[in-house]
Amino acid sequence: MTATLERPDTDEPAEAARHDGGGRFRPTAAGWGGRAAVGVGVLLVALWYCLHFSQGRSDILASGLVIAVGALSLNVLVGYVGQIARGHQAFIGIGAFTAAYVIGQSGQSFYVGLLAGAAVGAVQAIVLGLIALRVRGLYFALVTLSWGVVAENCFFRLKGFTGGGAGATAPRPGGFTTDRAFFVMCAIVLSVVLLVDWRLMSTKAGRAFQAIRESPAVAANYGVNVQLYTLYAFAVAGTYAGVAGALYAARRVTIQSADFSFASIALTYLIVTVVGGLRRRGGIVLFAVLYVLGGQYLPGWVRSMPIGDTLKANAGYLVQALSGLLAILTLIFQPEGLGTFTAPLGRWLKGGRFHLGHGGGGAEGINVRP
Amino acid sequence: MSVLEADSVSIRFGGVQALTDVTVKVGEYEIVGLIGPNGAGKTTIFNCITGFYRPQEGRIRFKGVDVSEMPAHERSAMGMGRTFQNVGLVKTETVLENMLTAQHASIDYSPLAGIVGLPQTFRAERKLRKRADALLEMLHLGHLRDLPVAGLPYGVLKRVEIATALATDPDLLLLDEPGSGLGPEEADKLGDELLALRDEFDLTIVMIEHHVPLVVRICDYVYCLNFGMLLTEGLPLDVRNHPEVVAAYLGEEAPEAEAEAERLEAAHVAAELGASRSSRSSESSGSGEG
Amino acid sequence: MILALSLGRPIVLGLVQGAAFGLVAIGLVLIYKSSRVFNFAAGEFATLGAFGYYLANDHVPLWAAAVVGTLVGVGAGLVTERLVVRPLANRPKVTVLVATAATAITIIALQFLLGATGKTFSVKPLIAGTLPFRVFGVFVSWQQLLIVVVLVLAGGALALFFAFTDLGLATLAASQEPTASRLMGIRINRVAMLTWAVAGGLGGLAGVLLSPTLGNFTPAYGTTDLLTQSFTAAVLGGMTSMPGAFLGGIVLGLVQNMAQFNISPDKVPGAQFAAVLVVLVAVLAIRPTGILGKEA
Repeated sequence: MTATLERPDTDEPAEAARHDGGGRFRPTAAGWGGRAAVGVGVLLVALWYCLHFSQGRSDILASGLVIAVGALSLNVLVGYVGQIARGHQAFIGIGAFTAAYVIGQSGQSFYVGLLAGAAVGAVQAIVLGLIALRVRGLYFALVTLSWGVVAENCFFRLKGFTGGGAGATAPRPGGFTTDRAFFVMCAIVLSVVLLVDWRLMSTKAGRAFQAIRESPAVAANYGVNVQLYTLYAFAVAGTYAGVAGALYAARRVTIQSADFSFASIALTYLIVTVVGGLRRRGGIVLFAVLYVLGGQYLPGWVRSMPIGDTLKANAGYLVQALSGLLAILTLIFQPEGLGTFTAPLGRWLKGGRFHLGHGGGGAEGINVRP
Repeated sequence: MSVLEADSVSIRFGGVQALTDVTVKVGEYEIVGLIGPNGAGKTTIFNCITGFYRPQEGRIRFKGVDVSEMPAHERSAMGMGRTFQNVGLVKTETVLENMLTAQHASIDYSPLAGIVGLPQTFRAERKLRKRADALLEMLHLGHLRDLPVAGLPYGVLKRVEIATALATDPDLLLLDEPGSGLGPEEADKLGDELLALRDEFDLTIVMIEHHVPLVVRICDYVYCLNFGMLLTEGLPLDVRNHPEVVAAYLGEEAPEAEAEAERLEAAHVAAELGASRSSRSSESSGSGEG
Repeated sequence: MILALSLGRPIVLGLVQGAAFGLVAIGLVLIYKSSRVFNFAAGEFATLGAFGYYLANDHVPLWAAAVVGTLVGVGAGLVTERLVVRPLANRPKVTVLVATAATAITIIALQFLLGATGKTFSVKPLIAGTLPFRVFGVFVSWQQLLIVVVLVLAGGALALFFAFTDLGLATLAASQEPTASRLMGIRINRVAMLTWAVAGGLGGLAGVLLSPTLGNFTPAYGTTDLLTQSFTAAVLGGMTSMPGAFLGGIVLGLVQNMAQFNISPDKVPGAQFAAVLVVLVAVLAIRPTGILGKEA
């Protein structure tokens, strides 16, 4: 074409681009080899760490993976489409009790329960999504808060559905009954969720979500059906949460309504998502695991220190307190969370250059109309 | 045949009459200018045309089809591309990602196929990338490809936005102040560029622009709005010299003076935007001038 | 169920709890008006106030313990403003919302850490005994009357404060025109501190006054028993109206207790919580800006 477009590019980002090599960067064969080696190495170390130790360790790690799946669900809402959800105990709990109902009371297989949990999770999320279409951002946060409270105090106490105070049971599937085997199950499910999430965000729907978060007007201008894709995001989040709930139920085998409280699920998962880094899958999974490992080991270390007996007795809550603080610090100083560190690694593994630059993730991207 | 016909459009917000009986007709391959003082309703008519507002009276016809009841995303898919006064880009994404998002309507795989990763989706994605790259190269923006939008200066953003609007594969391009923040020379270049784009993509262009010399140079026809009503319409020079237009712009001063003031103001705004990008105002892009 | 409609107790308890919701809701409205922030830590201000009262209960006169509890709330508000909200001043409001939620979980976890888990804390009423006559056929304690009176007094005092004092007017100005106010010489930071202090104090006061009417309280009770209801009350009042929040609190208290006393928990467990959700969704569906709200 003939347009004359020699604009002086003295602006700073343009400089940065030139610094980056201008054209696209491709690693050499050796570069790819190094990347593959590091990737496989990290995986092997993780696998060794997870499988080499006791059943108890496997169970703790499994609980971390369940949190990771739940936090990834929250990430779809808060990170991708920018809807603040404050009632994730409903999302997780509905999946868990549905799975327990299908497995425990109806005697179906675990896999049917998993699918049922995912499906019912998606449906309840879509109902909330319909409200989200009508109610503006901050107010919607209130609706979800209230929704979670109602789920916790109403739905989960319906005797026919959840067994009331006695709780519901969801036996683990054959071949995965030991803690270590069930950890493998959780790892497989998490991997599938990560894969799905990656494809989701690399294709049509994920880009539509990002545009909706930025502004529904921008999204519509790009040709995105804002209502449809908002509901779609809720369906995806509900599906992940349902899956997380089913895993939660089978890991615990017996679940009670008290397990799904605002503080233990909704706030914890939100904090894992924020500290891990919104839109940063790697960071979220990493912090979910660190969270449960911290819960396991921090109290021991702290108890060996010269502190009061009360603190020693209750050191189990240290991780919760610290991660609350960590979330505040993350929001103030490091909006990308742990993603600040995992994202550059991910970019490098995928064949980019290693640089610690901002990749467009993080809490700054939460952008709901007030 | 008219590509676009906004027929006797009126819209009120609460008690405020924002547009009264405004009729705008745009023929194929025309470049039509929309001028008028601030608050005259220029962005409001854009919002009515693109479907963000539903006028109480009047119809919008696009390519002969009455689109008055059609939601914004369908109008976009039908071939309306638009830029915003305050830049309508996804700031957390890179330039390339914005270009891919903008091609949303032309993607022929279902969102579910994308999630499960069917092979055809990978092929389709490669095609999208190729087209995005080609467009960026054409607009000399290729070097910005992998940079996040959030870090780019205002003037560059305005150009990236034109690229994303082109990526939606429009027949009609609606530009909201494409020349804001540009100096006279740069505005001149923008004019050349728009003419070239029109020829290259067989576009029809409607643009809101304060930069009167630019309007006079490239527009085939000009509408002037004031207080939500059509003040006058006609050939650019006639409109510019119309006594009421001159009067509407800053008393008795010539339009250029106002345009110059606008330019300075826009430059100032751009500088501020660059300085404090973190304090974003989220709901700006859609609404524009009230 | 309909035939045996229970009225007396739900009305009295509804007014009492509604007064507590109203106090917290006025604090929420204040903060929202001045900085457009939804404060999810508000419930824990009340819990901390209750703990302050509880800890001071045995050491000082009860009225002084109540002052201590209120001041703990004020302190919590100030600390939250200074350490959490102010550093996020230029960030999206939703980021601040998440940060206040993180503040809440930190406060809750600190209670657990200090040994509050699984315990209930019983507190003495400020004024013991009951009124010499029945109201709607129900004995009413002096403490229950006190909390309603305090709500009315606090609401009135705040209304006067914002209508007639310089600082009050400055706060309102800052909420409506932050930039212009700054240019006029109003110190935005000082105004923010004031609103958070007042909101914290109101929360603390609600915690102090409500806990004795319940007999005892559990850790995090502000978040579980007050937060959702108070927010709904504030939304019912339009989020920007203090009288609206005041009335919203009372309405919510009545609705919640009507549901609790008239719907069998065997049939619908937790009906009082469901009633709150129904009110919230209904209000948002009918008028997203609330019944008394005039959105700026």
